[in-house]
Amino acid sequence: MGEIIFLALLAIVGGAMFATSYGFRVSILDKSGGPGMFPRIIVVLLVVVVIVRIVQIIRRRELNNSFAFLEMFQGKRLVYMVFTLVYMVLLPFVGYLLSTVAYLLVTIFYFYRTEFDDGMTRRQTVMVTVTNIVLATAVYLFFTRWMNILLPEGILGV
Amino acid sequence: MLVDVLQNVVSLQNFLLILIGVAVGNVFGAIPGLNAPIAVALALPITFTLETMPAISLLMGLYMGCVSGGLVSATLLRIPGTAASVATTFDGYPMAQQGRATEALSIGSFASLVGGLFSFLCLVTLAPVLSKMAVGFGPWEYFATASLALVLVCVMLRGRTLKAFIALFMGLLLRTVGISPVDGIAARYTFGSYNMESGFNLIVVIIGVFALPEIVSSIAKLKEHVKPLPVKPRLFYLPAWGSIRRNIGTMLRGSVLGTFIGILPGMGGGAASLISYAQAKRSSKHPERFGTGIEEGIYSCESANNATTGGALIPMLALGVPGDTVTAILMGALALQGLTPGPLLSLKNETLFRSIIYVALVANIFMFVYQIMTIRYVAKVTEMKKSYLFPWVTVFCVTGVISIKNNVFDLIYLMAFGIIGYVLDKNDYPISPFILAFVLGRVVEENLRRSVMNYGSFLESFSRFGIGSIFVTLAVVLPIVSIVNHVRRERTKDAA
Repeated sequence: MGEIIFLALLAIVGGAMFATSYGFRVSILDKSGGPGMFPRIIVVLLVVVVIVRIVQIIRRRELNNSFAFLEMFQGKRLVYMVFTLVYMVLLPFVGYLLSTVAYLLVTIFYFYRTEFDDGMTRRQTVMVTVTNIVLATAVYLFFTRWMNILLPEGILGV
Repeated sequence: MLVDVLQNVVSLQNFLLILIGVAVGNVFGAIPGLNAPIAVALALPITFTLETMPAISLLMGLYMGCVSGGLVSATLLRIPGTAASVATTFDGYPMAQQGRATEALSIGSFASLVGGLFSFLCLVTLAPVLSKMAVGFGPWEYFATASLALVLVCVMLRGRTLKAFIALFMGLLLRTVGISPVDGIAARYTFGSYNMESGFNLIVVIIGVFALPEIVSSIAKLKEHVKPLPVKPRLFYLPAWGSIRRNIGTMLRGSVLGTFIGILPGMGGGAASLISYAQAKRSSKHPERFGTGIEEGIYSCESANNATTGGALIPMLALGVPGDTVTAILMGALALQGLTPGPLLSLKNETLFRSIIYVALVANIFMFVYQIMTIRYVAKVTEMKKSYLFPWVTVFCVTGVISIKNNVFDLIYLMAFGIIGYVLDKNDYPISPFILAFVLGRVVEENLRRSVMNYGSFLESFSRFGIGSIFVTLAVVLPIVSIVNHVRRERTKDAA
């Protein structure tokens, strides 16, 4: 059933895009079908294959087959997604270096505990902290100083 | 010409970048979940500041390194680092279990070199001829070639063709977001957002669709640890001459198959190595020994999967149509350098065109030398703790994306494409048509509209008999044939 919901959503979004395409600005000199022509062709083709797939699911009795989606937002995966999302949101405010070091340490300590069912020893914690700070700084310097690529600077300028 | 090409290719900087690419690529290829598209995509921001040849050297080194890197984890851990190494596990791992790990790895490296060299010869002879043929291409022919490439990707994925088409149309539809091509006056599906006007960046889409879903799905297997087998320390690892002599035919057959499959869009090293393995087993005098650690098995699949690299570059360089996902990203990299791969590249800049081909040769040789010297060290990478690995891969993804425009909006849709990639991948919807749609979507739309403008209508364009009309006919007929065959197979299955 999950896949049918996914396909139905696709068809609905496609339909909305089809309808919206009639509102695109068109040049009075245009003889190519306008900016809406291509999306409309694609939507029609998409809806056709979606319908064929839905019929296939029903005919093959695949209605009860599981559909992978929700597990992405459960357990360890959810924690990872939340950590990553917070990291991305904080990046422009806190700055690349600080937010990256914080993200790495928090995620590594969490994953380590999950992977080995135990926390790190004090020695390991110090080693991991120092190594990650050094490596993150090296990546930051590599991009900003050597490659001249701008990275978010944040409140502390790094 | 050759002197100019050599001047372009032979430089300390290029060689160093190829070597770095090969080394990093080998690590990416060896780690399950990381692969050539991710490695090349992550390296794209670095190429912004490089000149054309050094940028191509780095990416080509990565490409060759990744395809060959999968050999290590496939042989020592029975985990194919890439799809191209799946068939290698069949005989590589049993051979390693028999205490012949170094032999298996050296056979794989040598077969990879042979496959790579063979495909280079095809590349150097076929690509210029094909591109000269394509010089007369107009919008209609470009539209037809790109459309046929997209259709071929879906049709080749037997058993998943319908899902491939759904993924393809999803990709094409998402590609229409932003300012319209040709006229540039309509902001399509932007919801008034300035950020959306330039559409979705190809690099962000690739990183989102490939890297994030792999990490998310691998997190569930954090506790799974596989102990690698010991490798004897030696300076070089080469297979015995007798073994090479006995398997020359197997390697050549694998190379021919790999090159041919590489030319076909969307097939890639995974399909090539499996088909070559099946072919070698079918024609072997002792097929019953396949799967027990037979050297023939490794020679067949490793020569084939490396031959796909040169094969995939042929349509990319000659026609501007990528043979696989990595070459699609390479096209993006060339576009960032202001170059458009295709027939005009060979006409306008033949030296660069041939230089790219020769860089592929150098990368292949470097890859071989690097691999036979570092087999036992690379094996250590597979032992890296996942709790360190995943956060770092995520940081590289975020760094790669934020470095493009320093815009947080890119990170938001990176996550969105990560979710799309996960849903597609985990529900058996192929990713390659989705990515190729992003690469070729603009080409298809722009040239379709230009054709309609030039000839008045689609039918008028079609009625001009030529290669374009033949390709369009094939693009329509092939899915129909595929559907008919599928229905027949289903009926036969039902009857049985």
